[in-house]
Amino acid sequence: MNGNFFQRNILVALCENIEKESYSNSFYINDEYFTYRQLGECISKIRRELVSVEGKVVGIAIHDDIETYASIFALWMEGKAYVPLHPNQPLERNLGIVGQVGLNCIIDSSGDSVYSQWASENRSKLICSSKLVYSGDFLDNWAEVDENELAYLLFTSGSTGTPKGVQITRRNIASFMDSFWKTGIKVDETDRCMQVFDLTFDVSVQNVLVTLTRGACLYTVPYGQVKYLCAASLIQEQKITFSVMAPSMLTYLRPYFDEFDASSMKTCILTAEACPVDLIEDWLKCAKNTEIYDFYGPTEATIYCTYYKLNRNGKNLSSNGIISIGKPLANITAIVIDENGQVISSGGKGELCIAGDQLTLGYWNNSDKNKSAFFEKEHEGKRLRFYHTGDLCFMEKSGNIMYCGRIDQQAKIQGFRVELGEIEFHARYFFKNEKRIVAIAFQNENSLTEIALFIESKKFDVSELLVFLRSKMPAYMIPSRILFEEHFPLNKSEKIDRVALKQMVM
Amino acid sequence: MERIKIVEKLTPLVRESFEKNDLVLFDEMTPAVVDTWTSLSFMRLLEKVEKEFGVKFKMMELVKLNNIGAIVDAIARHC
Repeated sequence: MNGNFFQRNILVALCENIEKESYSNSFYINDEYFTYRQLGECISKIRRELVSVEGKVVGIAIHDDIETYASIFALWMEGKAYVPLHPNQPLERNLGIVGQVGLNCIIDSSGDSVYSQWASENRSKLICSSKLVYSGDFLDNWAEVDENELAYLLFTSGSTGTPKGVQITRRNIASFMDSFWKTGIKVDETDRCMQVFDLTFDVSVQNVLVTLTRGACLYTVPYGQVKYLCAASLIQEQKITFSVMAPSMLTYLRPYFDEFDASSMKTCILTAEACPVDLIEDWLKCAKNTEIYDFYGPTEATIYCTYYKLNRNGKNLSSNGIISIGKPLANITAIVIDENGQVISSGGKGELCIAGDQLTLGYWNNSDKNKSAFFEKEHEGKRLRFYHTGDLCFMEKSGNIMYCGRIDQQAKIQGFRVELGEIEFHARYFFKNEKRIVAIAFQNENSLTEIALFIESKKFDVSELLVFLRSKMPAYMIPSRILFEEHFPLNKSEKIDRVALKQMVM
Repeated sequence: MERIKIVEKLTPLVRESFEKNDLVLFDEMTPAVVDTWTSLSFMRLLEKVEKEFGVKFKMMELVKLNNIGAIVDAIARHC
């Protein structure tokens, strides 16, 4: 793959669409259409403000508006990378990320930015993108940067209580896009794509790039709404043709499948969570005209790294009721290893490890984690750098990979990665380390993942604890059940028996 | 059923579902102002509302239930 793939196939493709599809719609946000021309003007006005900004990484306070999306391309044209800062996450958590990266500039479309105080106290720049005035196109003469420079930095839940930043480069994105199109999925200027995921979730990058490099229109689900309802409304009323959803969204919609008109949808990607077979079988009957795919991938391997195309007429590969995550994408190498790091032949369970050009440079300023999460190994005559996904899998003889669960304390809540250790960390801090705490992920009666927090204590009012946890973590990480046990059960090794606790909540 | 009576019956269901014991309902209240109004808690609320009021919502009704006023109106149409 040519080193200029990022510029040629992403920035050039976008700019050609701004010119060629000038009056076609690029976005549909909050009941309003924005043409490619308007997107180009928005990118230009933001980019002019960035010329004087020092530093490689800039924060974007994300909102559901055209300025937020335009900021990404303005930054990339200036050779910079972005860190998304979610408005619904506690400000303290976002400021922690700002401090970790050492940002000196944030772009915020809000006229009443929560980062005003940060900017004045730190003599840093706050760009209010919605107040900028367009003064001519500024879409050419991109900064010359190496393909190994950062494109974005995403922070995910960290078991030590501090979110960890995954560094994704231009090369990673270019390699991902190359892999994606090699799956045979087609998107063109007639397509109406749906953006359910916010910009702190890397699937959002796939949606933006797939849509805008093909001249299609991206329909966004507004923040601060119940996502599955907004998505259902968009699919039916705007006749969405391309969608990416987490299976849990379909679980919410499942009782209504018999009245759900998804006939416009040509392609549906399910990702971010394990796909239950029975759910998919019902979805196949509902989405009659749709090609359905199960895509898998950790943020560290840039959005997706394996995929499985569902069969409409015939059996679909599954294990323990979970659909196969399929085979590696074109630019990915996948192996399953045992506890000694040896590759397991087909059929044996072990940890899935990933290598290839999509693999992150590593975590931001986190050498300990980088040492433990990545390793080098000789594979098929090449020395490759692999990532430990933490996912327990086995590979079938056909090369399809079956997902069996996690080997660590990580859970997926509505597609978001949650380190249970991070929840325990904050709860323990609240109790000044005077109580034993265990966070457990479990499946509720509707097959949705919830988090229960066990406290070793007699029952007491937990409202102050919940207020504290909400000040530290995003809403999806807040336990939905708090349970008390005066004495935690212990296993044979005299450790807290998490399995026994899990049985109590199910 | 009158709106005021619906709100009276709805309030404890919302408080329980969204885990906010002191929540005072108003028509314009949306998920944007109630941090615990999530997909999961909303599904729980729906289950309670359908049971308490003896109603069954269609999907196209559901997609418009984006604030408390819309939920009250939808119940009123059924009761």
